[in-house]
Amino acid sequence: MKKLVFVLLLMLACVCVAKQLILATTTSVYNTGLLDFLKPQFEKRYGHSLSIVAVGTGMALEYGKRADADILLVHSPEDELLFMKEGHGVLRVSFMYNDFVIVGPDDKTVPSVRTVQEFFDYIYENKLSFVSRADESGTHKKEKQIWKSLNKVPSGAWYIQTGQDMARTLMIADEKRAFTLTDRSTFLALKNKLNMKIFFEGDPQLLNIYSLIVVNPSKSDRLNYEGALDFVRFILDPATLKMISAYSAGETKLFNLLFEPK
Amino acid sequence: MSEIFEISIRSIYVNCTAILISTFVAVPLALIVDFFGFRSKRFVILLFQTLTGIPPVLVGLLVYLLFSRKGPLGNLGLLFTSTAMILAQILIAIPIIFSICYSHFSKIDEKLRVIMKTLGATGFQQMMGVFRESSVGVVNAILTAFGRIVGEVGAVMIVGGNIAGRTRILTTSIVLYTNMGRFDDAIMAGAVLLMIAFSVNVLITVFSDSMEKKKWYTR
Amino acid sequence: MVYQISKLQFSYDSGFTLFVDEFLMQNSIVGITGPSGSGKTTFLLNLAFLYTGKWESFKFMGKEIDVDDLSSLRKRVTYVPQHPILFRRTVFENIAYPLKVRRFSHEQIRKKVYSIAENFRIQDLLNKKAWQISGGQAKRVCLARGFVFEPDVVLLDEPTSDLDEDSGKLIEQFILDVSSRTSIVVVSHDKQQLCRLCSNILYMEKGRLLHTL
Ligand SMILES: Nc1ncnc2c1ncn2[C@@H]1O[C@H](COP(=O)(O)OP(=O)(O)O)[C@@H](O)[C@H]1O
Ligand SMILES: [Mg+2]
Repeated sequence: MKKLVFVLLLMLACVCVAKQLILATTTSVYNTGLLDFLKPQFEKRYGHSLSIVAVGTGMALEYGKRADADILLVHSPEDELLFMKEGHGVLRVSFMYNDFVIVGPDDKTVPSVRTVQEFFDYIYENKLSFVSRADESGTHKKEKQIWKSLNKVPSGAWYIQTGQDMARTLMIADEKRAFTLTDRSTFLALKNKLNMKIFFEGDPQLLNIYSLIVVNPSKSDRLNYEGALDFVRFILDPATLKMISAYSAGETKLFNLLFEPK
Repeated sequence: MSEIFEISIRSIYVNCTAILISTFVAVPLALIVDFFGFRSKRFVILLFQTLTGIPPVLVGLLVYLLFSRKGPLGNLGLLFTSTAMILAQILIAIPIIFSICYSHFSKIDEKLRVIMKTLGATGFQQMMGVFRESSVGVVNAILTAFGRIVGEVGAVMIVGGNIAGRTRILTTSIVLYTNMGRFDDAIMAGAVLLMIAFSVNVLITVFSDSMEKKKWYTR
Repeated sequence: MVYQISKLQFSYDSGFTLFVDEFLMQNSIVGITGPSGSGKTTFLLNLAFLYTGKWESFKFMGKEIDVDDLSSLRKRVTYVPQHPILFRRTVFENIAYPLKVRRFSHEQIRKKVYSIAENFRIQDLLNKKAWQISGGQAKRVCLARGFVFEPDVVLLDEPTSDLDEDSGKLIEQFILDVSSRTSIVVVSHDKQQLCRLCSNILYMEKGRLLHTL
């Protein structure tokens, strides 16, 4: 009984407490630790309390559509454009990028190629083991896009579909001695635990562009629109941009800016 | 270090509150269903038994849709709070506690119920008698449900959001640490989780034993 | 008149039917005997208001019974089964159960339980768990539990069947002692025992109650 009263009070407290700012992002971004690094500085400067929710790309956009998040940090340009077109967002700012790389077992050798299509073609023709996330994430969408541009449909025992997040997919690829497409930051974070190396990188098609989207405030009066705008201001502040571009895991830089801070 | 401490405290709070509330709902419910005969009784029992197999993630999704701002209870602002996580865990635990308790209650000998009646027990007292006769089964039910929710991650991830300092608990932090390659931290959190589960098991077992041994009547 | 029943009929799903044309009982001891399967236990369960059939008239303590209020009638009658059934608790708690249910104070419960335990020579068993005592001891615990709250009527189903001769005599003496305050129906196969206990002995056969032996 006491517990029940307590829970009711807690519910009440949650309703009464000042609005928090909810940022929905993808796990791959969150796992780099960048946002946890920026959070205290934003909170100190703007006085909002920031809550970061890390989910898959699809779920992050869904949070936006249902007005459960005030601002999104995502990296799936096609979906983002659709999201904006449908009127779910009022502001979209692309500000940083990193890239996808193809990784595989470090004892394998492959001929050097120029484009990502050539590499995928080599895997397809030789039926080299390849692990796909198969979870409709940004990374998976990029992979599908490449297969489509080759007019090939991967299938067979060599094509392993995990339905898991990037970290687990990398571990499975390591286990199966297989190739996979991954974002660079997740790979770098896990590199020491894997017997894998980068086989292909640097193709402009593999750029991974990150954008902030402010959710349309007309969706719900509970949305923290002011806070969302403040967050955009904070990110676009030259000081913050410099911190982002200097942010690294170990000795490797994780993100590049799309424009030079003045 | 202080981070894992804070996460552990939240884990204990969420799991224990959830298990307490579900116990106070599910055990009396099982007693009532056991005591009264009504037409849809078998259906209710089957329903709860089926619900024990429901994937926790699905419960999480339903609670999310309920508390989402566009959802029916969106105005409460409970999404991404520990209250929402508690609710999801309650929904996972209730069918488990109910089903295990009911199966123990229904195994009580019909003759014992007749004896309670003829010795003058009221309906409520008969229910309490059934409860006391199966107290071991009830403890078992609570511990099983606790085991299930203490290691549960899918549902709390969806409704809680694994927000640092707000809704991050041990299981969700293990997923996060694993994905970040911080395997040491993940294993550390796992060890704390096991320790909590172990302590709760010990506590409940000791408590129920001492209830059993209570002898207020000795000279 | 404790019971005044005419044309009581009760059937199990299995097809067995109990039929009692007339049953009258004064404040006294009544004995019932008959072959097994003749319906003696079934009749006691009806007298205890645990099972209810149909009747033309069913008066208890001079008043027609109210089927919607069986629970208050049950408070005044108790049935002691042939095979002992105890709670998984201590002997003390088993005997104290009907008192606790009636919200007696701890002090009263203690007094009554100790005094009845002496009557049934089970005072040494009180702290034992119900599953740690023998069948004969359990039977005496069950009987003590039936008498401890001094109900108006006690229905005894083969009260001495599992007992040694000494205990049997003890129970018989107890029944005779309390019969001035309590009305008792005794079902027994032992006709000599019934003759020692009462003058009014009924005979059951194939679900019918016959008034002559
Ligand atoms: N719960 C029950 N359901 C169906 N039939 C029963 C039940 N209890 C007893 N009977 C049947 O009723 C008859 C009378 O049983 P009972 O009253 O126990 O006889 P007695 O006590 O004289 O030996 C028996 O034929 C028995 O099979
Ligand atoms: Mg019998």
